[in-house]
Amino acid sequence: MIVIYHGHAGAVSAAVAAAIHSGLLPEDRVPPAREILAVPEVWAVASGTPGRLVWLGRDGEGHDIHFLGHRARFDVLERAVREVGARLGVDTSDILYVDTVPAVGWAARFLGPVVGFLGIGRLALPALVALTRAAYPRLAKLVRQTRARLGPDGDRP
Amino acid sequence: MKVFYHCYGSSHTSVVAAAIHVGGLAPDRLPSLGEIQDVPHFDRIRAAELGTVFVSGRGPDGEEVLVVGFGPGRKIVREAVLSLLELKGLPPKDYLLVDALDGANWVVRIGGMLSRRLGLVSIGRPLAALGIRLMFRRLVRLVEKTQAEVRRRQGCP
Repeated sequence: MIVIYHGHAGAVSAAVAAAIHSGLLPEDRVPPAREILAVPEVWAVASGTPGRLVWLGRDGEGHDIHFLGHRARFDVLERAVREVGARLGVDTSDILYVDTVPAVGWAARFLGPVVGFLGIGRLALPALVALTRAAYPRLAKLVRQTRARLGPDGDRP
Repeated sequence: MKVFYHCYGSSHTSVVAAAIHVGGLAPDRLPSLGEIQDVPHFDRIRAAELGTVFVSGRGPDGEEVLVVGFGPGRKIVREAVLSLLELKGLPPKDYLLVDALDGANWVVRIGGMLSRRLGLVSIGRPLAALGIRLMFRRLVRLVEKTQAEVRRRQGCP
């Protein structure tokens, strides 16, 4: 399966969730900011292209873990990927999208899109990481739920 | 090979570019407003259909021509589609994504908004057709460039 954690471009929640899932960040404690910033892919939020998939690694079950930042309507993005893929004979049914926005607080929900829009990701990264640390237990819970969905009794697509 | 013309809502610039590509509109003559409004799908796609792919026909070198609307974050959706196709290992020679909205004038945008968003079809549709007429030469150049790229990728002389 291909797991894609997604959130607002400029927000680091999707990158952090993907890093937890792929084992680059711990699941059982909230790491200090410097540990989060030591994951190179987190910096991709600040300097990467919105919409471009970033691969974090493979989990213990062999699922490929990615994240994606966007400012688009996600329903349109998902449908376009599925529709264009289908026309080209590409099977996209093995993709599991996980929305990280509900797991973060209102401040990160507000700041993430603003930062993405203004393109000041590198400047705002410490503030975004601080906000993401506050949401870290919820992101870890989201990862556990995602793992359960991927398991034999899960509801994966 | 498949060519996807994309714009905001697959209603105006993309469908007209696709119509020129498949020979539905002559590239060497400025079409009337009526001819533009008669192009299949012109100003008829609903917001709920954003991301859906529609078939226009076949181009001169046998390529299939399709249209799709990527909505408000079209550049991000395009990036997501491209990175997913890349991830799935699809060779770039199999497809071409062409942004037909680049350089669209305000007449098309306002006409499209009046018709598709506000439901003022009787005002918006002719206005969008007028905008298309004003940028017709630009769309012809885009199609010519696209057809040349198709030939290049297919290895045609």
